[in-house]
Amino acid sequence: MVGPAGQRRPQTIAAAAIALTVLVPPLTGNLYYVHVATVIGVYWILIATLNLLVGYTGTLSIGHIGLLAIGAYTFAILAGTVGWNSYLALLAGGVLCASIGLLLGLPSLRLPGFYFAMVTTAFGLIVSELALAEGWLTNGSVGMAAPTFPAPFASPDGFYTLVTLIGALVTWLCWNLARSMWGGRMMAVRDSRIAALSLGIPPARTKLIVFVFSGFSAGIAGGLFATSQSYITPDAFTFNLGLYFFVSIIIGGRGSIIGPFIGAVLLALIPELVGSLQKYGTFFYGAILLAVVLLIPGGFGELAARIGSGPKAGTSDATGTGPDLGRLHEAITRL
Amino acid sequence: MTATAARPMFMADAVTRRFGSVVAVGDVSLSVEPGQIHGLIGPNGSGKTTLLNLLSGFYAADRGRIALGDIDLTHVGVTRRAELGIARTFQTPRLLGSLSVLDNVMLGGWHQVRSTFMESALDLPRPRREARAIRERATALLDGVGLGRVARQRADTLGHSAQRVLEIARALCMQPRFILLDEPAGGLTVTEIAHLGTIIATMRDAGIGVLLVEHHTDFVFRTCDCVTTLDLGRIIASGAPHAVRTHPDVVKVYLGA
Repeated sequence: MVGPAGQRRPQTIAAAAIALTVLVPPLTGNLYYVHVATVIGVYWILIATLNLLVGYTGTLSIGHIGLLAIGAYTFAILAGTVGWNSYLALLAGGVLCASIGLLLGLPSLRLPGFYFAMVTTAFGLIVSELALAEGWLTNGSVGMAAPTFPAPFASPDGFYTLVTLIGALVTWLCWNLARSMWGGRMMAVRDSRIAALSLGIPPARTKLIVFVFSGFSAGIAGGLFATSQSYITPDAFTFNLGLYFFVSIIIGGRGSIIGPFIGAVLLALIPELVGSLQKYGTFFYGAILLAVVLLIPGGFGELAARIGSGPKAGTSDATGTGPDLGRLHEAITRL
Repeated sequence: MTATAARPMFMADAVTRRFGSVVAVGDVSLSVEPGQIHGLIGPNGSGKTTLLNLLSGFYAADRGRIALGDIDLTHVGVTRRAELGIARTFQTPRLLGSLSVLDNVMLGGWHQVRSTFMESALDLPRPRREARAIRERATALLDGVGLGRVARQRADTLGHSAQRVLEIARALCMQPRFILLDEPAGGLTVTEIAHLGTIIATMRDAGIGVLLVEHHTDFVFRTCDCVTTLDLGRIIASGAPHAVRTHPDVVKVYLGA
């Protein structure tokens, strides 16, 4: 499967371009740029798999900010307070969030999409309240220090490298899925539940598998987020951040892997670029979202595909060609 | 499909389905044999599509029994029935417009995929091998139904009749034992209907049991081995095409009392 017809070439070019830009921040020697790039990388680890859920299966999860918070606190508690190995703690956060995804999704993914969105919203709200209220575990509003990773990933450049490696791995996994028969399966669940059912594709199980996978990567992203911030408080996990994940996917374009990456980078850079206008940060999110939805509804991903593939090959109807019955009989009877 | 020694029938036994106080399908019994084309005709609202939904599992029967050979399907869900070899098409083709024609057909092979989500994510050999086999079958089917030239095009660029044929190819990619076609000739020209007829006959010759729900009665009487007529949710005639065609109740329903 190649996903939407003829998107392979532009995506390869985009991947090469991204691989090159990833090298730029450390070369500038500016620690602040490295920090911004690291944070974008962390967000991308969450967004890449959230995009499979939202963009490919059409399931609206608003609760990923809650999973990010749980991943971050799990890491800070296990690696900091308890003293576990950092990698083990990171993995534990991922496993915990995947399990939460399973528990949350099992009863709710059978319901129409709107209810699942409500369930995840409630989950996100509960997590942020618990982080504030359960001071014995999370230090409440005071927050917790987050440990770093051992060398060679201890320095800012080193940590950026770690985030980039994990980000590349997650991107590779998502890309494989989108190109494999899973790409079609996920889109079938999104675009025609009835058709999916009639083909023997169970929609609820499909969504659940993707949700658990995205829960795992959100947990991992949470742990890395904690380290990138050095110190976490419940305020770090705002509704706006959850909104940012979502808007990245929408302006990137559903059904595309590279598009949401462009979206994520662009949105994360806006607060940096507008500088003194920072208090209008959310305004710029809104403006971009509005512009994209009105001008290029398919998002950047579709725009890139359209530029890359040129005019669409023959939109003509195929009538006039009769069936080849010998070939058909052979195709049906062969096992 | 090679139907071996046991060639199970697909059957509905005294099936009833009500919507509120309306009996959409009442006490209907019908069976489709492998290698047989069974036509289902009747005026609008006579319960044809409801019966098809009962057979494919989208509706549950209030009473009666649905079975595939010895397997009782009455309480079996849609996806499981698909796995057991019951395919269907829809009155309005339900395709994935943003996917290529070939990818649409390949979706029909999904229930045979054994590789897991993580195997696909890691791009291991098994999912690749499975996809290759399904792609080969899908390509052969597309060539067979006459859509080979447009296999790489997006499905939503196809015209209406090509979309109908594409949906049939997708159903065939499931390697079904039985296929339920919901008004496949709707909106097709005379030539296209003739092509469709040969495709359906080929499916029968290959051993598939076909249930053909159709408005074009001429087409049904020409194509089918056996015809059942519904009116107001009940069977008014069933049997060989020429017998049903001249049955007084059928004539009355179609020509008006």
